[in-house]
Amino acid sequence: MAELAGKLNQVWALAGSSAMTGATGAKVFGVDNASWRALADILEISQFGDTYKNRMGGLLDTAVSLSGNLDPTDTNGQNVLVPGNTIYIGMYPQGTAAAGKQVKALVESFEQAAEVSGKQTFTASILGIAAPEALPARS
Amino acid sequence: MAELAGRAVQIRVGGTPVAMTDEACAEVGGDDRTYQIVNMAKQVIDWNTPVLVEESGAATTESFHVNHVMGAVVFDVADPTRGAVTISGAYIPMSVAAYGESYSRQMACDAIAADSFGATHKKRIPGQLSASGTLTNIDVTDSIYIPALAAGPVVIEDSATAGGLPNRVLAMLDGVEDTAEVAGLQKRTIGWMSTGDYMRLGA
Repeated sequence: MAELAGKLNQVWALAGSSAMTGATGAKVFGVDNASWRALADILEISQFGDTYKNRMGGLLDTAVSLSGNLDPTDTNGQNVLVPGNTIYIGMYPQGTAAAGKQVKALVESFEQAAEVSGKQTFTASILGIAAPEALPARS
Repeated sequence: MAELAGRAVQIRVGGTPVAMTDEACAEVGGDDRTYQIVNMAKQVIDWNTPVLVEESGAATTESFHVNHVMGAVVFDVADPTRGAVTISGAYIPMSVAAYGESYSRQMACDAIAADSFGATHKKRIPGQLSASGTLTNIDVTDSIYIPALAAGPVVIEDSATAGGLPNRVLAMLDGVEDTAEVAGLQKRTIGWMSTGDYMRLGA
């Protein structure tokens, strides 16, 4: 078993419709919390006479959410998270030396928030629009 | 990397329109269609005052639309040889809003499902854009936001630092909540939703 510290995770992004290679894309800076959800629609197919619910899988889906410290200077990272944009979003759970995963996606929302006594933060919601792919390791 | 303290945020709110004549514009975005007022202080165009767009000193005969929040005229046709563009009308001066304690702005896109038989994974296409947000004020007498928002849409501008690149939205009041705790300050939180274009230059 290989437990992984959260600090090893990296989030990378590339604007447009081409998947990231080991040489394209940019790290999204400032992220301190990230989630990658692999989802499936669950369809209920129970019928009369069933004691227990029966279900089947429907469409598959991917949902990515990011949050962290706002960085307006992160030109190729945070600044590609523009609602309506098509991007490739990927994660390296073990850092860039090991392959990760990426998905072609639509940026659904980007929220910026600030409190006078705190720091400026961002939250982004990104929805997959295709099947996930491997994200090659980087040398 | 440049982390930013929350206290650096600057919130500005639109005021009373001021007439402007022949404000110089510069082409932006590289599309030879979009021309933005150069003077940032005059970029918010009053939507209640007729706008005159001129090319090389004469009223344009081209088709265009005005992006009031961006302060730009967008011609229907690209023309790299277009003459100097100016805009006359009225601008809305933006002034710093005091007593702000916290702020949020969410920009969103409708994700329209575009699934079809045979697909294994969900597919989506982008739909309409919109924005929403909140402002929390420690001045519950509020002589700024409530009167302005009650009178109709108002431009709200935020930047990550004072003088930094702005984000602007035409906002409609969504709701007001006053709160009080015995050991703290009374606060007023205003919720808003966008109407029409918004501009994101900053974060």
